[in-house]
Amino acid sequence: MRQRIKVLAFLCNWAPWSCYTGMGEQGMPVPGEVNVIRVMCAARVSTALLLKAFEKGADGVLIVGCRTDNCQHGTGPDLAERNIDHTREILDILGLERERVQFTYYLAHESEKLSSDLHRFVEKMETFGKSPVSG
Amino acid sequence: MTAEIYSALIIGSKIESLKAAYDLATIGHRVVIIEEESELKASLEDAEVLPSGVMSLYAIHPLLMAVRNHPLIHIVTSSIVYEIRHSRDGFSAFVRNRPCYIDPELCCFCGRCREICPVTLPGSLKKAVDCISERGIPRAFFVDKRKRPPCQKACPLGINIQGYLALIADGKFGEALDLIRESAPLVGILGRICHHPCESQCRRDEVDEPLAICSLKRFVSDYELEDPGHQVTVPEPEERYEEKIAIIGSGPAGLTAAWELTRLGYETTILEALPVIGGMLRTVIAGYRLPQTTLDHEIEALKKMGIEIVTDSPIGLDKSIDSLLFYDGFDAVLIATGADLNKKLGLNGEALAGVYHSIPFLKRISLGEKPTIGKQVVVIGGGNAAMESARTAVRLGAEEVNILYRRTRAEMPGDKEELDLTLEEGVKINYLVSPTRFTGKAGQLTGVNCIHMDLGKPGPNGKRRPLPKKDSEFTLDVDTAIVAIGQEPDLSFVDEGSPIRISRQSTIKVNRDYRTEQKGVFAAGDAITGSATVAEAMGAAKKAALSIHRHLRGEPWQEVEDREDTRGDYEPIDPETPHTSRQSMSVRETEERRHDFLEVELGYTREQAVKEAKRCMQCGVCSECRQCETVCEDVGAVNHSGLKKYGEYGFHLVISSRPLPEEFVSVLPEERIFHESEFGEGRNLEESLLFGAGLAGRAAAFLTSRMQVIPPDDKRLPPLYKKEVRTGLFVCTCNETIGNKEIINELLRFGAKFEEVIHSEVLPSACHPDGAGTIASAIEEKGITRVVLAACSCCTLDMICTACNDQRLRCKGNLFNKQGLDPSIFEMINLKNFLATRRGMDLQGILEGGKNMIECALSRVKFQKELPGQKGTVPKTVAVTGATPESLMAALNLEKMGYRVYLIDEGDTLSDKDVVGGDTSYALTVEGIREEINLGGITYLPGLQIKALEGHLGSFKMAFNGTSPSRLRVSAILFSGVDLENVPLTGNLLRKGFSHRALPGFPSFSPWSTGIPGIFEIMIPGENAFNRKGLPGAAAAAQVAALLRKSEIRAKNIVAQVDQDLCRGCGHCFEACPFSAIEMRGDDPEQKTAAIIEMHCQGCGTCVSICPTGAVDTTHKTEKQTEQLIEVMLR
Repeated sequence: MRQRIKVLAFLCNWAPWSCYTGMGEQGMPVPGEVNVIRVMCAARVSTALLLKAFEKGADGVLIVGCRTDNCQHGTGPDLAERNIDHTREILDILGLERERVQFTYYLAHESEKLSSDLHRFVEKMETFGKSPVSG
Repeated sequence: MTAEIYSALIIGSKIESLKAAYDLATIGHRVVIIEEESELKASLEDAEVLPSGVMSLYAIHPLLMAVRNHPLIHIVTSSIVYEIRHSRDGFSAFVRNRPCYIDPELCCFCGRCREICPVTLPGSLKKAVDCISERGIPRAFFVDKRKRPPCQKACPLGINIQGYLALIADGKFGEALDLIRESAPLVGILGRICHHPCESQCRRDEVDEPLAICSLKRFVSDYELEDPGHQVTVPEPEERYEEKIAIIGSGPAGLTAAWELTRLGYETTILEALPVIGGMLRTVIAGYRLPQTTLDHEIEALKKMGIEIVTDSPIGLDKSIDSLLFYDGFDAVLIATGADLNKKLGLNGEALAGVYHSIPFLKRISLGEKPTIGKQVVVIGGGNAAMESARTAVRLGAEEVNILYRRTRAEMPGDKEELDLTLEEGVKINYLVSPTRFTGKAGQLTGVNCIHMDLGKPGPNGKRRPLPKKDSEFTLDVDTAIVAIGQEPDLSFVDEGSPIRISRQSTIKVNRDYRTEQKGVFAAGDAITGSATVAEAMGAAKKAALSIHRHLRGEPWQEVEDREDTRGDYEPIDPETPHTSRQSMSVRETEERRHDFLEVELGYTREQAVKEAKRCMQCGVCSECRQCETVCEDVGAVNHSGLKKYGEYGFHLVISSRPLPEEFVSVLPEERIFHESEFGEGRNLEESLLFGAGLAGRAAAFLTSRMQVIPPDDKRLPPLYKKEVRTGLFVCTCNETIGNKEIINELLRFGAKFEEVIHSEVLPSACHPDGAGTIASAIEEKGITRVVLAACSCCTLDMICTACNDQRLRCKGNLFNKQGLDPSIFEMINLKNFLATRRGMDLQGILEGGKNMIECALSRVKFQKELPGQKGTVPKTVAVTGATPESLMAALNLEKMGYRVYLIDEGDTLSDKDVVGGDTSYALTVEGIREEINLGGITYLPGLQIKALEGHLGSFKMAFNGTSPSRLRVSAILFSGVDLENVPLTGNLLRKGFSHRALPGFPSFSPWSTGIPGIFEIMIPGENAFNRKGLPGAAAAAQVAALLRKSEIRAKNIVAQVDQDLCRGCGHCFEACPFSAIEMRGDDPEQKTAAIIEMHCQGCGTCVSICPTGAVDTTHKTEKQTEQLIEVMLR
């Protein structure tokens, strides 16, 4: 049997978490492949944590944050993207697809958008297949 | 009871009022908000999309939640202020509450009440139990209860008709029957022979035809007979009494009284003169209307309750009312003997053989005799007994049956349905005919002489009096006549010398409480009214039973209380309501039924019953079927007995969204009234927030000399943390709506297997105060040092995000504030949302995910550190820089609030006599400032330029180009009319700059904050009413005062910490921190290390992700915990 892929999504407390709980309230399913970790800010997710996820067998990692102009802390999305760029360089060296780590952002009411993006990300990771690290 | 005193009374809950309430409460004033809706208005405003694309509902949600959660804000919803009076301590507002029947402080919003509610309003999806919005605050359901429906008002027994119709429409037939039995016994009987006064009051008649209320009652009774699975539930009486009660007569009144008294807790015995039970129900009402089996079934149900029925036990020779009371040990006697003595016509020949009187005639048949009957029969009378006699005569083989009635059909007392069936069976009715004598041969009846009548003027009973028509006599040849012109009570058993009084109409005289003149003896039913209806007799018996209870308990008589018309009138009837005619009940073919005594009407089918019940207009909206109470038993939030409540709230000033009514204004001095509307309408959200802040500033300045602020509550710093890990796992079922029993139990079993888990428990509702209580006592009893709570709360932190809701906050509030537990030892996971987003997944997948979630939480809580919290005082010093109208107003307001204010002016504006110009309000401000300066409240520092600014909230250090003074230390700084770009930031603020948090379209709840906590800048949003009233200064003052006070207690919360051994002083964190919460410390410029200013730290963790050595970490959700989490999650 083909092994199911595993996706880790770091969700910021603010707009993304509101979208996520909104999904529950409106009965929108989260793909079974997705594991969710709630963080105080997208900028909290260090490169170390991103790499840890790949080390432990994640096939894809998402950092879900807020739109830059709506960030509670002002700088979250910029720093998150910086951490992602950094991680991608390392993924390159490791021979993993750069797109296995991504940043997305939402406003607090955009549950539907988050839902479809999660599904799309899972599909995309399926085209990449299992990460060689997880084997 | 003295009313609680609040600083401010806020009427209405638009965003302005809520911002004002929040600021005032944060400054330390107690505030009460009175809102007429069941939810805060601001959460109900239309979903506006702000220019940024953010939905306003989401943008304001955290503020609303903060208001809801503030310990100094008391929110009273569904209420109006109806009076304002002077009181000893100031003023008092008197408030009337429209009951919601659901306690918003207990409701866990599981939605089961709404789901089970059978009432859906015609033409909408609204239910009688509903909420206004899913994101409302309070987030709770409420019951929309209107006036009592007209059908129920008309019912002599007060049966909850709308309730049982709603339940039938919902297919809950057994529940419908149980509901009827709460008000009346003998349901199968009422469902057949009740005269249903309810139907003539039915509002459906305005659309098409009234509901078939009576037939639906019969339907549920039939349903019970067909469904043996349905058990008659007899609720145990709340109390059992020793007194015994005797009831004379086993007719509908006697049976009903016995039923009610037994329910109240008395031992009752019915004495019946005949060998059969049921009185007129048995002896007079024929089997084709009311089958004996139905009667037997109903009587059986009463016997099961413990009612004793003794037959062949007439009151008379060997038993009297006195002997019952004095020898047989009864404490009270109820006379319910009915009216079964036929009235006589008093005509010649009435004694001839072949002339019957209806009661003995029908009685003989029911006792199994078969009276002989001729071919030609006349029945005299127009009531049900007449029709009953006629139809019986048909069944006994009469060839022709004629009813003679002296008035017209319009005056006929019998039921219409009964008349129709009688006519169908071939009986002829002769209206306006009256007999004058019976004629006979050899003692046997041969004919009736009759006369035609005319109707004259109405008599005393309102009916038109029949008058004989001259020369209209005629004779009918008949061999049988049945006289059925009415009955009266047979009171021959009442002794001559008895104190019981008997009226001229031969009825027992009673007081309004059904007492006779003999102590302990009561009477009810036809015995006191003369021949009436079954429902009326039963209704009176029920009241008499209550009266006996009150008499025995020594309580005074009271009229049965009607429910208060709490929520206003019925819904208007939509004229477009589609017509649906009443379901007609099938009857047996006439030819067939004419020959037997089997029941004629066949009852409704289930489909018919549901269809018919669905026609109900749901007049009272809530039908009081109380289904919602049954699903809320574990939580106990629903309570239908909530009545109108009144409250009194003391206050010093009013903030209102609308102009106050004249009668309030006449009591209150103008200076105590703060209107939003006086500043015009049409504000956007940002302006509204500024307005609210401005009102708060002015109110706080007004209040300071009158009302002490409440000292901060330091309950939020509980010392419970221990290093040892002994975990308790609690899983909330949200009143059995999270997952299902199988999932919950499996998750609990899974969690309990872990070594460190010493306790695991399921909670019906974690947000209920009892839920928090359960957790607290388990912690104490079992020595738990870590708690995993799987409910709907997402975190343990003292913060409110957009996703937060009432229940999540309440859960945390109950645990950490009310129970005083330490948030450090908790890990909360939102299992509810997890399972909701996994709906549709296979059970295995759900269980795997759920178990993983529990394992993650257990592993994370193991490594939990103690959260730091701090308590301290912040000096009440503020620097206001710039001498603009706004800053002067802010300075004045702050000074009034008790702050030491330094007014820093680059020039010497206030000394310049011409500065005032033509603006009068500015002139007043300047005058006020000058006065304060003279009094020493405000220190004016002219000619100063800032040379350096560093430090943090509570301790900013300013240095000046100038000497008096050259340095200043203040807790907060307010800029106005100064270009911040030119302010030289140094030290920890070096290179930080000001990042304005409030961007266009992104409303900030703390207007004018600059990105450096404690530093504000007044930015005027253009020329409008807000400016002219001097509100900006007040708003700024409120922001400063609120922040300074809030920072005196910092709840246990997430912050960053630096490991000095690992820090190499690179300064990356210092540069990245968005809150200037990091400073580089150390004397050697080459060897500085980072340090966290906790007062500024928001716990975002930006510094953690940027630190190259891992020296910085947050106290909660540490790097190690997160790594652990990733590992468990991906296992």
